[in-house]
Amino acid sequence: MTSRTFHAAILRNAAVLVPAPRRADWLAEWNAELCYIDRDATAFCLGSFRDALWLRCHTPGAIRRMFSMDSPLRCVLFLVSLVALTLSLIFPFRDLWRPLWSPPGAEQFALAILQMYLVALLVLAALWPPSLGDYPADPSGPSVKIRLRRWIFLAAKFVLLTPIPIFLSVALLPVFPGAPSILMFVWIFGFRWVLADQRRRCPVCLHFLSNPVTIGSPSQSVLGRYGTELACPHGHGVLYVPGAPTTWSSRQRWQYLSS
Amino acid sequence: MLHSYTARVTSSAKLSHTAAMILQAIHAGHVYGFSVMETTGLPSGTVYPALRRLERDGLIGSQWESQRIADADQRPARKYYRITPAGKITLQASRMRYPLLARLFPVSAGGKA
Repeated sequence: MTSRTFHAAILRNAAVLVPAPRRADWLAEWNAELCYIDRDATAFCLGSFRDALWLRCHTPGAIRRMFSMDSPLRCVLFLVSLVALTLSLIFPFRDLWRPLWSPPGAEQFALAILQMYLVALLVLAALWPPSLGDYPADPSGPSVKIRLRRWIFLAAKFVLLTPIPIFLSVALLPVFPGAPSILMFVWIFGFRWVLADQRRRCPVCLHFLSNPVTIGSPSQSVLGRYGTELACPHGHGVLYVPGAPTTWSSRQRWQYLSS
Repeated sequence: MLHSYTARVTSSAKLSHTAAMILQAIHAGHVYGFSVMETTGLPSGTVYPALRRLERDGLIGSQWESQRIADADQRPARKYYRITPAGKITLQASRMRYPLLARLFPVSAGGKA
């Protein structure tokens, strides 16, 4: 790798921190300046990280956008990083929780975990309807592959969320012996978040729906529609969320814009 | 209105020594980032964020060099910075605060002072 390629690579890496609308301009400026550097080019390029970070911190909404889970990939990556983080937390206490994995303790531990997991699912189903809403089958709608992707995404969130409270409770065990007792509650609220997150995503592109518009008024809920409509930013469809559940419209309803 | 103007001028006049140095360097005719770095002796990680801050506060403005000029010189186009009228007022106030500032980088004959 030549030094020029190396320095350009440093700048490209720093550019990742710069908010997207300003990235091209920022990179062009740094690359132009780099052409005039005849010594300490590496130190010069490393300074770009500070500049990029400054821009990231001082662009309104840039930090929020950085941690936004609008994209399904970002959401999965967020959960994967949470799993990794909680797993890394239990390593310093591995001597304490080793008995849990030995044959007599492991069975009891697994049984207790399974019991709590099932109770959490039951409580969730009893407290909040697990339905995702009405997504009518449309011949001109998305292909089976795209529809399947939505369910895989939902399953991935459930699978990734499951070990997080277990690792967290094991990590907290030395400082808070009652940590496993809160396991069930963390699952309940975690799974509730998974369902809520799934409901506010487009079934086609799996991005968050946007532009909520209130339609009707509470007094019109008998004869007309009263609720909120959200649209997919990529134009795949519109979601109607009833403001007051009625017998004929109690669940949110998706409508493909192609239909 | 006058109160908000006074407040803005007073707050912008309170530049750090580094920011005042960079503003003075631009005023003295060092109009691009690397030139400011060489003149002030400050590292790139200090100069460029300071330039962004000064630009955000309206004390300097920036403009890309014409691609035609850059192509004629066979080099990439640079981004040039220039001091704004508000920047000149702030620099004047900063000189009162840091009296040696003007002597550090005197305005050259070719400068835009």
